[in-house]
Amino acid sequence: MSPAAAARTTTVAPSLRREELESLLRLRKLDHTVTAPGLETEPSSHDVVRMMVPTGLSDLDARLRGGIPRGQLSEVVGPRSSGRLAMMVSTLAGATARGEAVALIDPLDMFDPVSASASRIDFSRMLWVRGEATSSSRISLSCEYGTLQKSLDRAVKAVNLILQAGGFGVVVLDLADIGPQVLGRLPFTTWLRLHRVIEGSETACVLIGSEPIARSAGGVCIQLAPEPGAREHRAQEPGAHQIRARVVRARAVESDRHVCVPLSAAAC
Amino acid sequence: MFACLYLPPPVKASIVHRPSSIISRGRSTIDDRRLTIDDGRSPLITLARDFSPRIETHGERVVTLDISGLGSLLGDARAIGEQLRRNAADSGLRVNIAIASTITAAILLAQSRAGLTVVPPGAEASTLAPLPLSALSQLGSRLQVSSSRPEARSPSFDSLRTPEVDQLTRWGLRTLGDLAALPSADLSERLGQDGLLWQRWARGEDARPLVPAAIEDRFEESLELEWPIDGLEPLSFVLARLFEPLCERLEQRDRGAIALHVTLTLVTRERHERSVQLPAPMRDARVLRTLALLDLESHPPPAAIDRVAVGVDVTEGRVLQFGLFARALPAEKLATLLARLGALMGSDRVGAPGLVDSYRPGAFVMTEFAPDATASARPKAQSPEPGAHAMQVIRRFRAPIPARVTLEQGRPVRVTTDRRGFSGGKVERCDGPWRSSGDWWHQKPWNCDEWDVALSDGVSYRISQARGDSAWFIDGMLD
Repeated sequence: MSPAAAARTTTVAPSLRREELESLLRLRKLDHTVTAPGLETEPSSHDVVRMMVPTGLSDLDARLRGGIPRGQLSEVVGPRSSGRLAMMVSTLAGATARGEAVALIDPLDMFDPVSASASRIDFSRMLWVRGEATSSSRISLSCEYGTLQKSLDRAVKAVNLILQAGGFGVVVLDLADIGPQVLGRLPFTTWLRLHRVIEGSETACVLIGSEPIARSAGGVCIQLAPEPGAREHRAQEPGAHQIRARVVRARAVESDRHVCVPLSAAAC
Repeated sequence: MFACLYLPPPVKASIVHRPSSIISRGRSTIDDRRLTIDDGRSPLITLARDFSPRIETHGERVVTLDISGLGSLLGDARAIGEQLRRNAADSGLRVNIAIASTITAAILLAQSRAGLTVVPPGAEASTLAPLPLSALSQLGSRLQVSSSRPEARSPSFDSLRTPEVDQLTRWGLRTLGDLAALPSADLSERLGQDGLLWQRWARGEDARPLVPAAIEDRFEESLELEWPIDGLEPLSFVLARLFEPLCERLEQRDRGAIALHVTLTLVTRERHERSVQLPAPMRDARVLRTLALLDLESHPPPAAIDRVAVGVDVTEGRVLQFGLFARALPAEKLATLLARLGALMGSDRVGAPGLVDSYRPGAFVMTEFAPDATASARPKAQSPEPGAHAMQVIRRFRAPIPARVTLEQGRPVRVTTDRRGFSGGKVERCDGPWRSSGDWWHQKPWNCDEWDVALSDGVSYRISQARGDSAWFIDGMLD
């Protein structure tokens, strides 16, 4: 074999193997794990709009290369008062401003429309599914525990129905105040099933929680925490402080760096 | 040729010396009751429809029908009129019938002459000539097109009113023949276009063609069951069988259902009736069946079912133009989704949040979620600009949590509570108070101070105290 022919063989054979691999992955519906754009080339602005839902926070969107991916199950986690709901309301406001319908599933009925309206969210495009108003602080009572479990089950079913119906740009399930002992009772296949439902669709499904639970391969997980040293900042600007957003798990996004997002005071 | 059927109003039973007339006072007369029958359709219209598909109604008591082409079946105009009269008598109706070449002449003669009147073609003006001028008084309203479509409405026809009849009488005119004989130019100078129109009517000329009334279909289906069914699963098959032909008819007529009625006759001889208002006109059999089943799931019948009947209120078909790039949520899918969510969570817990014109903390209303699929995105001036900061949102406790608050110089310095899950602690930052009050004119006024406090455990809360009361509450968490 001549050197030129040998070189041709070495260049063609790997590409064929890659095509075969991609076709196999596509057959198994696993193509998003390898062949998603963003790995090799920088996505265009049109691709960003089509494939991502911007959070409305410019620094975080830049870190996420456009925003939260559509067709994937993503998570926003962090402790209380870390700005999880503020970030999601900002995302919902941006989506409704683009004319998209959005949904918020609120198992504990804690969403406050008055304070959320400061983010200029268009409520006419927002479907709000409210669960029973059960305080997570009362789960020591067995009856409350059962009610909480039922609320969670219903909320998961509601998410499933909404995702199956399609047509929503963003669907948010707020699990922030549900304890890990209640969430742990859900079978892990719950999140796999939700992921399968939205796979390939234009809906971005986001879970709000205190710690990662879904661990979806294709989605992003944004971990929020109060910024150290923010106390001095708060002293200078009453009612405002900073949060630290870190993408802890996402393909093609560096996970060891964080961005700081200022958090303004809630509307009265 | 046109025929006009006129059902004269019943003679008022005001003769006090007849005992039967006293008894009949306050009740509807037989003729009144005959105007409508059980299925809501007038027998006069039914009679007219038996002879021609092209009929036009002029109020409850006058119907005109186009009898052109009936000659080969029934004979000449008089034979057609005789047949109409026989059929009317069989239906128990005593109607005046007039047959003429124009609608106007037929209506005027039917209203003025009892029995059957047949006018030879070309003799309309001479036949109408002896009628008094007052015969024109009701004609204007009769000739208004009774169509729901604005574009199909005719220009308004003003009837000859009593003052105008008096004016014409002072001019020496008594009959329609007198009016028809006047010079048109002089009449126009004195009475304008209305005068010309009245003269055309007096001559028996039509100002507009016949506008056929659409055949109103009743979109209903029913099924008698051989064996009673007890459960929603077998009922779903029955509903599917009923809705499929119903939706085919809706498709053929280009109609959409806006309300759905399900009537179940039970083995106890009771009727279980349910109605579902639909958010948009739709005619998908699967969607209608699902909506009916979901409603019955929430309101199940108390006994087994013997007979199933479904019906829909209809409106014109829906035409939608979606954008090329907008993510549309079809109304059928949205209605099904909302019905399913309502059955799962409760119908009052699904919708779109709405703000109320009040400063009451946490005030909101639930509104119907009906995003306009055809509406474009919000104008850029009103849309939120991508920025560098987010706004905190409150997670509100619908039942506020009692708390103990220590004050120093009127400001909270420590917040604790007995509730599990809330550690409480020293206040590191506090903003407030924000005072609000209102609804003092209602049963439940409010008057409170609100504070935002950041505690040493890293959590920020909104706490409140009713003014004039020492009790403190945690209203929510800032997130």
